[in-house]
Amino acid sequence: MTNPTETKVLSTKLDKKERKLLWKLFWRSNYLMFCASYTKQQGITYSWVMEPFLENIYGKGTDAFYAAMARHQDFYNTNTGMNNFIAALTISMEEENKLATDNGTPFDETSISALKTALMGPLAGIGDSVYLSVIRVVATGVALGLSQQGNILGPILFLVVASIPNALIRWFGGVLGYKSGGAFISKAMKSGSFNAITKGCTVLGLIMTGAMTAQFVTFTTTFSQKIGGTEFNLQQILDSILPGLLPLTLTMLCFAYLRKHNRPVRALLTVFLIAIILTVLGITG
Amino acid sequence: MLMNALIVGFVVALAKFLDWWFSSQLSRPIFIVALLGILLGHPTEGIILGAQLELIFLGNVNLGGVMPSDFTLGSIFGGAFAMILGSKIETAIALAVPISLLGTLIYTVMKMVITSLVPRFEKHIKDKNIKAFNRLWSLQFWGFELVYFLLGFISIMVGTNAIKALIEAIPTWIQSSMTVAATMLPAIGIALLLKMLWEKSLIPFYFLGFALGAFFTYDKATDGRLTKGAVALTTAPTKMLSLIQIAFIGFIIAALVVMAELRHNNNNKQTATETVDSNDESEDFFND
Repeated sequence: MTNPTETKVLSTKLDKKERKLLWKLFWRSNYLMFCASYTKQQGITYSWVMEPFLENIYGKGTDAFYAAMARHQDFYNTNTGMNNFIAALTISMEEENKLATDNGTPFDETSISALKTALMGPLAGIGDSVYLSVIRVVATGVALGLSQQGNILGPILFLVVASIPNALIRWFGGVLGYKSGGAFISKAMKSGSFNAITKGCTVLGLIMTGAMTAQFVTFTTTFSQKIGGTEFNLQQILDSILPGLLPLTLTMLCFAYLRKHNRPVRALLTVFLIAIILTVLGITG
Repeated sequence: MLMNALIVGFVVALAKFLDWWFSSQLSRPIFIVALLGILLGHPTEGIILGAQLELIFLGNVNLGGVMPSDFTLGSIFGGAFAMILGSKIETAIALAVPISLLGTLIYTVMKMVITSLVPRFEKHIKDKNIKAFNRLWSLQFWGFELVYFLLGFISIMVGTNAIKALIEAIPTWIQSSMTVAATMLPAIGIALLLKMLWEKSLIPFYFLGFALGAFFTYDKATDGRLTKGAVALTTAPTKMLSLIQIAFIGFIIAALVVMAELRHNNNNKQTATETVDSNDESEDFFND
């Protein structure tokens, strides 16, 4: 589809066939979060999303098709709204792979997985914060007052305000990913500008993840005791050392654990247990 | 009762669908409880209840694929019981919070079942059997929806009062520790995100984001009272920067990093080779 010799690669004009493909991806990609597992997260469903497109490229039931399916079952986890960009990019790379193998020129298939892995982290960090703290908060803010009065316009406005930016992100993410294409990306990869862009995305993703730690993780103590006539309030002391010290420590501990042992369920249960112990001891509550 | 049970079952299954499909945000209480109210024949109560429950669960979000509290399930059941029994908003809230915490456990069990099916999916692809792969995926999808439908249906059929008694039988210390746990659990979602983003040289930016989010607070006046001729203010520490504002600052910093990196690349290239045709290309990428 994308011609590597074309000079203007990043035009967003679509022909009929491309529009049809991206429209199909737009709907199919909505199911990415279903059937997520602890070991692969969205990996299995990612291959399910890719299935008809891979079938189109490699032909039904061919070995190349199954090889591609197996390739896309790897661990994958990103913000589902950002997935259209990555999936469209992957489709265009698979098309190039097919073209290259037909022409007898080698194409590095591992670069497809490498690209997915490079993009999913930064886009998850950025996407989660966009969806949870921009789209959701704005839509709620618009609707809440009306809903509190029992006005039917509240939920309707919520639906409209939440859905329009979401649909736009998904559609144009797909267009951008497909049109930029693997050839363009690998050219950019060689020149180093792709690395610069992913580095920028990682930086923004990390800043937003840090901010989400501060604003979504709540872990405060209610412990206070009278010692020698003066009130000893643990939380006030902790706040004077560093605001948000406890949430940050907790997140760092979870991170250290999950990095070493990939066991989210055990981490989940441990946090539950810690919460119960601390509450029974009267430290939190 | 049968009709009500069918409606609640349907709404729970629909909410679980909308939770993930299209990342639509439509499983938030403000929308789904309003819809439930309309279907149950209490539109105005439903809309108001939705708004009230939304305020309670405003800070609860699912991050990085971790569900700290199933506020969807909690608010649907809380809302349904209150509307069916014709009781006050307080009842809905009193039920919604513990049910949302029980919901987390149900979800965790479901996800474990799904995880146990992963090797089967891999085997079907290895055996080149795409039909079995598709069948299993559909089975999983509909099984997931069916479990939640039945959960809603049976809970209403078994009897609202029985559920209420069950919830009340949970000791308060368990309830309050579960509430504490629900606010702590987003740490795991964030840790999973962080694992994907981890790059040693860039990690200071995480702490920068944290600092922007945590350090800038002001005491917001929540209440004022006139006592002994002087105004006594009740204040609560409030975060000064919203995530939207932090995103703005973060974008500037990220742009600076990208520009520095591109300049660095160009310098390297110019010293390495005399051909400088790559210069325009990287600028093209950035301009787009």
